[in-house]
Amino acid sequence: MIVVHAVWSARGRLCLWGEDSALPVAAPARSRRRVHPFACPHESLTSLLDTKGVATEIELWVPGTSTAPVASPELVRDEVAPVPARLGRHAWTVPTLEYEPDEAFARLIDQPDDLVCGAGLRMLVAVAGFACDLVNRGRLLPTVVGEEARWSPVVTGPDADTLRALALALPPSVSAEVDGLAGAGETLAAAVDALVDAAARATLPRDLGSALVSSGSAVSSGSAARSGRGSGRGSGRGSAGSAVGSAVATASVPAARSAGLSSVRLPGAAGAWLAALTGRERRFAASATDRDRLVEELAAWQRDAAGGAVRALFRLVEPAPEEDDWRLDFALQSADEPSLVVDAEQVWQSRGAVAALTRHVGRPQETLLGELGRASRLYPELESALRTAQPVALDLDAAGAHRLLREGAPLLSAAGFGVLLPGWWSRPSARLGARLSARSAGAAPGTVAKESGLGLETLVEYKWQLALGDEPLSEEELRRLTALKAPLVRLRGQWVELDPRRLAAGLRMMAEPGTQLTVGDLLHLAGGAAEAPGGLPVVGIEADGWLADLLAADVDRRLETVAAPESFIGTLRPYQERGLSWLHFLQRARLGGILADDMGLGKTVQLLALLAGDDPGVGPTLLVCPMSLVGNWQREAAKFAPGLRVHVHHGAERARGKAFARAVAEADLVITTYAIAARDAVGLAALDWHRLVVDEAQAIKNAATRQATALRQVPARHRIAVTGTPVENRLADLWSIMEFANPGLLGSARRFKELYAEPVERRGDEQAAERLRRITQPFVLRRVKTDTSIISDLPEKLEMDVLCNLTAEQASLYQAVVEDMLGKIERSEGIERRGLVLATMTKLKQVCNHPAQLLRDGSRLAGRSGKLARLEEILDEVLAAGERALLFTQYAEFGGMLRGHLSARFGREVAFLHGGVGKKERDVLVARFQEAGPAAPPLFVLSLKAGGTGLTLTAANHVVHVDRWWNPAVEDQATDRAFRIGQRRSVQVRKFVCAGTVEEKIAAMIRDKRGLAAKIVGAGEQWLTELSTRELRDLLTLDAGAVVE
Amino acid sequence: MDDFFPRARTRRVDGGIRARSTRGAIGSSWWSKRFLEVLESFALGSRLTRGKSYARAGQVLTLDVEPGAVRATVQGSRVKPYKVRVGLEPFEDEIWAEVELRLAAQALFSAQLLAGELPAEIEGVFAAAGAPLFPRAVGDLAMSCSCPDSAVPCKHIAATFYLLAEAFDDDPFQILHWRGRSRDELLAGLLAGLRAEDGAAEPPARDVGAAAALRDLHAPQLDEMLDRYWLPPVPLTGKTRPVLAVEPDLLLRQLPTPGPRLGGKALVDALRPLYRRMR
Repeated sequence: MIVVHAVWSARGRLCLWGEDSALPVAAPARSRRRVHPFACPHESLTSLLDTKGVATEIELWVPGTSTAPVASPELVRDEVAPVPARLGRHAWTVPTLEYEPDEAFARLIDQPDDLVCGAGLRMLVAVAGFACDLVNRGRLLPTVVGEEARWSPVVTGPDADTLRALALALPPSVSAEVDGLAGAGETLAAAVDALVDAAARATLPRDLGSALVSSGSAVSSGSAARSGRGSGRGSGRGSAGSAVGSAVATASVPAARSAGLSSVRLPGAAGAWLAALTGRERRFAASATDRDRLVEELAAWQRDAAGGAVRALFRLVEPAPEEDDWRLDFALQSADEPSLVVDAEQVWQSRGAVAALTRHVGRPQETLLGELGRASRLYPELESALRTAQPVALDLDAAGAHRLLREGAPLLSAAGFGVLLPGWWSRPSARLGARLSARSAGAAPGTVAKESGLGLETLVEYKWQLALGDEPLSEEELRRLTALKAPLVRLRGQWVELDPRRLAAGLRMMAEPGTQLTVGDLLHLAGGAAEAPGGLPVVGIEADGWLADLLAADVDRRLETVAAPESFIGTLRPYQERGLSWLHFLQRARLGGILADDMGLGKTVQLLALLAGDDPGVGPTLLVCPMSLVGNWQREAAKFAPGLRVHVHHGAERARGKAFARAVAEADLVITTYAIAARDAVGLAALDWHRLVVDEAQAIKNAATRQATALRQVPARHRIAVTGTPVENRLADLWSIMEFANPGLLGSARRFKELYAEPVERRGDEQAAERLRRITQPFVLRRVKTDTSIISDLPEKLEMDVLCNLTAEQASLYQAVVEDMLGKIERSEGIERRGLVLATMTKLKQVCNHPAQLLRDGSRLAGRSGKLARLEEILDEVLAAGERALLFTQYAEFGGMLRGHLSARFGREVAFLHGGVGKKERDVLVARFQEAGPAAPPLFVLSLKAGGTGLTLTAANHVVHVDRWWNPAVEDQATDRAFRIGQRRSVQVRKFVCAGTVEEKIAAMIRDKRGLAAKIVGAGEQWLTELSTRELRDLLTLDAGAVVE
Repeated sequence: MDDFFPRARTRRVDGGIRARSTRGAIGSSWWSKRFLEVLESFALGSRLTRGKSYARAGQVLTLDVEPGAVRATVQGSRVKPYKVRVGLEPFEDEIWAEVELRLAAQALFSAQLLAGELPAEIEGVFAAAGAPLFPRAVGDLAMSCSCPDSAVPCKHIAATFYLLAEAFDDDPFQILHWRGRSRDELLAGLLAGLRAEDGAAEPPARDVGAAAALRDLHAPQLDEMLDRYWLPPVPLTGKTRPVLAVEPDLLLRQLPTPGPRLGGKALVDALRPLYRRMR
């Protein structure tokens, strides 16, 4: 296994290097060259990454001892290295692949998913994305750096916040080059500058540059072309020196015309510089004097780009009642402390410094004047206010105020000036809009009348009406307002905007109120994602009956409660009953849903209660879940809904064709896995399903995958997706899952990206997020544990056995161990036999954990263990909810493997406590975990022996026992690390056992006869050695059906 | 006149100042147009036009504006370039004081001067102060050239005028400079009334580049974080403040006209399509 790391070097290159788990942990004590003992050689780096990087070496500070550097947490080794008592830093030579900025940008922006990388490289990937975003938004200016033309970022406002957050998140390893850049800030600044330049050039092809400026003055691109390995530098310099040509450069080449560029003439050095802003060659020909002058004038030109410590603030003041004189007040505002505002009047009153602003600005009057001058460049109407010596405000009429609101304010605000507008301006009620009243086909609220003809395509009765502010408006009134021809009008004391386009749209709507309206249309209208006929925005919707329920924000609370059917064994908590009612409601309305309750709130029982209440003869439910959950579903169904006839469709011997159809006809619930569903898609789609449920629906979050496409094509009357991950935070995932549950609701993937994903994720667009929430809200039920109405009736400690399956590899290893060991046990006796029995138990438990733990071969971990798969699913939800978990294992070496795998898999810090950690380090680990801030590790792997007692780890509210000690007292003690004084949340405890293995059998023994078990099992595993060989064989042999793949 | 001399041929020049316009009128901004209008009103018409091709051929080697005089060197037919001088009387301090007083009455002037621009209306202010900015009669201009041509203006002087007009396009403050005050001197005079006796100097503007936003960032040093070597010291929260969606060339609109060596407005025209492509 290789973990890839990144360094941003002082030479301005991205250096990638790797740690290889197959290489020795320490260097020979007396080697002369200090080469990092487990750094990847160049050959393996090149075959892992690409051939674009230049093979070279750098010297790196790495913490550790003088012979053994500390490995990154992502590196999975099958032995646990002792933690050195004192960490020092030592310089190591490391083979790297070096990338120039253009290649570095291309590499980072297109990082393959399957690469295991350290946190430093992951952070640089994020930095490249940030650079790309700055370029897309034009937040950059052309500059001169040394002898090169460069695009430099202009980082202000929210961008500056993001940049600082990135700097603080940059792992020290990125700037650890010996004699490198000083610290995270300097390193990140260098990386962002270089990546912005590269990102800009990636959009500006080289021929554009040579086209922009005629040949002669720029370094000619042909002679300066790089070999791609950076060796062309010298030749570039050579041609640059001799290439100073005519003093004027012209762009008249056809390429420029085709690129939409007009002919441009710039003075000599500037022309060469401009040409060097595109393509790969950054150096341009100019004498040192010319270059210096260029730098000087660039600085003067760009002086105001980044803004100063104090900026102008413009505040629009509306007229007093009965008057029509608007005013735009001027003030100065501190850029860093926006609440610090000094009015222009006060600025003029004081000669020289203004007390409140002295820390920020020395000459406030001059600053104010300069700011006003700059603002008037964007908004020339300001000039009329500058006719006096000491301007304090701009007087406006209604039309002027309207122009400011519409055009001036957004521009000024985007350019970094402070702008304060009256609150009503941003409210939809300040504009002409449309109101809709919709009627469902005569049904009482809380119920759905008829099942036939429902769904998203159902037509509804409706009526459109005009509205201005909160008042309805007749067509006659609209005509009168249109005749006023005033952009801003005070109507019943409220200012409203009379935009001529909207007025026209209103008249259009009254003339053609549209033809048909479906439930799906209604939801889009309600969410603000669609407009009324004619183009008016919708300002209100009234509905009755089930439509009203559907449009309500709290649909699950409005519905009439449906009690669990008698065939359901168990009791539903009140919120679970509401969930059941919601599922019923959607089913009757022929709509799909996403049940997204927090983990631990009982999504499975809510679904089983729904299934148990199905009318006989309605048809079977197909349930698709990850392999790791099949056994769990089977068991839960048997427990809560024993009346359900369950058929599990999996394995190589699964029924096919007619046999499968027969099996389905005789079942109420058919359980299968995503892999099988993708493989048997055609067969599944041919059958008549009443309901289709996908559990752990993140599995279809990627719409393009085979399983997602296959499942979208399986027809069913009712579709439900179950997931514990908050889908509303991951927009592309939400689209894919919703497309499964309610096809077509969110439009095409491309349109969804345009309308929601990009605005929300790139620009933090709250309005787009709100629209999306409102459209999807009827179909997503998500209750969280922190909701007081739910937590009040939750137990404080929720313990559950989690049944995991074996993979085929695990099963065959398991069987091989049983056969081999039973033979040996049969042939031995006494102490030797006891030893063999205990060794067998250990080996079997290791197999259940992970084949790599038994084999100790350093092989990859992903996809080979049912437990690991289940653990990843659970941790996905824990982390998505921002919570923390303790993971206990008795095997330190497995703990080490888990830590490496999980930190690489989730990209989060995983703390690890084992017997080799000294007391001081242990205290530090515990303190860091407990601080629970964003910098604290969210996961803590502990070996049961080292971490089972004494510690307080109440920052966690999840405990997972990955393997079992068979001693409830020891396990409870470990659990109590989290569940003790100081814990304010309920704690979820999961104990993993592998289905069909010795683990499940012993767990059942403990559960069924706890009293007896406490006696025989209490002391660990000793009692096993007393069993006869036949008893042992029964206990150890793998049950059929343990494997699901 | 040139005809007195046997077939003198103009020497070609490399690296001279070449007029930007290739045909038609020279000068694009209000200031250069105004300047050329004034010159043309002196009925120098045909003589002036002769300088155009010279200006376009790049025969003018240097051009310097200083208080009271514009000096240029122009390559003619002789080896040694001709020296051109165009004198214009700088304003007396009293006149400047009067102008400053009038300018200070309207914040617009200081505001635009501070933002790097010369408002066209400023000409009216000079006129009102009894000191027209441009020469009133041809006699106000003291033109001389070291060439043997006795005509005034000769084509060397004419070429100088055209390039001077273009220089005003690039940097209109050159007109004021010719009249005795640089932009900074004028501003200092204008704002003297606003500045306190002990007025602190302005803090330097923030630079372009990522480092500006990371100034005074407190990031711990490597030795303080050996145990956190591989990890983000403060992991990202994933929350970002919303940014405004703007036109990609907003920054170009925000900045003043670039200086003459950058090509003035032409630079912005050249950059705008690049910004649009970055979207």
